[in-house]
Amino acid sequence: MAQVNSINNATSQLTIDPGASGNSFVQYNVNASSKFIMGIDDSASDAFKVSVGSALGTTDSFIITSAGYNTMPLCPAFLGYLPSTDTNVTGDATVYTLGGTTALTKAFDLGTNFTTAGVFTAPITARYHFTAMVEANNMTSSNNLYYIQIVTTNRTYQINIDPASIIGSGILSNKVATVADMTSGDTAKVQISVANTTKVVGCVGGSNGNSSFSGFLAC
Amino acid sequence: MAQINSINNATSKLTIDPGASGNSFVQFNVNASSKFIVGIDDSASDVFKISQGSALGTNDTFIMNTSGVPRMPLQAAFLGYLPSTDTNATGDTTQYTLGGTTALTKVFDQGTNFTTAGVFTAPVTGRYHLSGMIYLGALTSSNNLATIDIVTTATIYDINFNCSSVISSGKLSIGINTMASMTAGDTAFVRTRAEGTSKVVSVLGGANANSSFSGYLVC
Amino acid sequence: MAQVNSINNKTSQLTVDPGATANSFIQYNVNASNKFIMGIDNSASNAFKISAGSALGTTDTFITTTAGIITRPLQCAFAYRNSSIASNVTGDGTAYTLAATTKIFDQGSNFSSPTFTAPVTGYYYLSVKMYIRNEPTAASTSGTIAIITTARTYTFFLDNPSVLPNSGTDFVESVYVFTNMTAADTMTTTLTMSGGTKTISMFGSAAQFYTGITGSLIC
Repeated sequence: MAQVNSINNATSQLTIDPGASGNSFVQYNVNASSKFIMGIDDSASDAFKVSVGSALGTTDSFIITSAGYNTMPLCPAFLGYLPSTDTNVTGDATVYTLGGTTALTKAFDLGTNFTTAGVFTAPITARYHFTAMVEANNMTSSNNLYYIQIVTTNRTYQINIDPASIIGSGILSNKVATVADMTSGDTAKVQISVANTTKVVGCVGGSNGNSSFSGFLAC
Repeated sequence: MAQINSINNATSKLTIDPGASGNSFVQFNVNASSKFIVGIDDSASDVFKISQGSALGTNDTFIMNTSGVPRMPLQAAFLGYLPSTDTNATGDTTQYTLGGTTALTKVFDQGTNFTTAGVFTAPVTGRYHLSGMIYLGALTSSNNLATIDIVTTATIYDINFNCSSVISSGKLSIGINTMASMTAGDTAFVRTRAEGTSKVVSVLGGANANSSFSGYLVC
Repeated sequence: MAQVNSINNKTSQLTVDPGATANSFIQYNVNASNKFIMGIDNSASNAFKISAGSALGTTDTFITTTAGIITRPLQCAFAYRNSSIASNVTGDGTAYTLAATTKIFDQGSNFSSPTFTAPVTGYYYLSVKMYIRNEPTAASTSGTIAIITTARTYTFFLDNPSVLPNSGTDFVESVYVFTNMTAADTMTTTLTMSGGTKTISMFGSAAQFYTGITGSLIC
């Protein structure tokens, strides 16, 4: 087995080729322990992959298809939605946490960093993109404040509206989205509050995502 | 030192291994000038890295940990928020630029492409996600318009509606999110205006990010 | 031509260097078919690239500049807008499917108005912005904007929208979601206004992004 630590030739290229159908890859080890493998997964339409361990197709972390589409199957990403309506949760300025009463249904949760109680915990320090939408019902023209907020460990991102004059059927949605700085272990959750009546306002749930919290690691 | 420009064997693999604790990597040079290094950073829990230069851990551009979680620490990304209220900012159709009066507080600014005057300049041509939030105060029922714009070099993204019916506390938030195509050097900023009164409407600031501008390079 | 399947030395490094000003790369082939090439594109300011095929700079899928900024030029991402008004589309309960026909960008050509089709299974950020016109007062009593995906529908409720228009005619709203899509899943968007007559229009203009749809594959 040759020992080599440089390649220097006119074409300055290193070519790796099984010479038949099969994977073509570079295996990165440290002291015989397989760490990452990078190369062509011949069983997956020749996609380019970076995978944890020693087998392309097992713990893929970075994939580029031959068309150039890039997916990262282990990138923290989640979506949870309220599956049924929580009645009488606010209206008197009570702060209601999405998932704090009825557990959320998780549509997906890559990395298992999100709880059905609606709390996301950052697995690493990074910038995260969060989006929330909540449908509230049973509001009246007396309700003069409806806010939705994403509460992170570092700060809160809030959208306030005054629904008093725009209530007809009593149903109104609110939404908020932002890019946020999160240190490993920091948390994020969504809350709403409606004010100026008794506690008769509900948070509407169902099989769709009308009241939902989602997010992903952006960079 | 052997000269090699192909590897072709039954296992079609190139294995790189220090044979002890240490980094395992491929160094890409051009005419003896170190350009990028790709491999395992043994001093950082054996994460996979693509780093500019010749040292894993110095100018890391892409990181994948052993759980497959990616990170792009030098990717263009920013968040700035208004730390204190700007009073008498609009109300009479005056366009108010977020950061144009009171300087924004930068929470993060990877790549230093964002100013405290609230202007983001695209470092490269690409598709950028941009989010803006504005929290207005001192509104009255005479204010018949509230808007929020993300103004990019190429075009304007705006949200507007009649706020006179949504005011009782005098406060209102508006938010906007979009993905924008930006050429290197293009700029983006957030502005707002209210109409219907004299210049008495405030843009509310504080320790949270209720009036803020954030974004990142998506692809 | 030496055959090598391991490199094991104290510096545990493989150096690839043309020895002159030129590209420095690893070519991944399968049975002599060029699949991907990875390395330094000397003609592009020595950016690090992963490209489909055998030529850096031709079908680049992943690019890291020497400043660490990452772009993915073939990543699924799109933005379309209206350039003209669609008249009398709703108001009487009709669900109007937004047709956005002017392309701003469409990496991968996966949008054919009014439908986006996911090219690969993954997690997508989708948004719609609607500039709603001819909404006279005391007309529509309710309205919804929906992002309809194969997996689920995200509905944003506008209660009593007849009080929202500026100057009695216009208001703008947007909805954005992060969602899972399987390859070939679709997305459309709708506006449904009820309680009045079918006199509500969707405004569009070449002047700016008044009404449109955007989206991108995130991970």
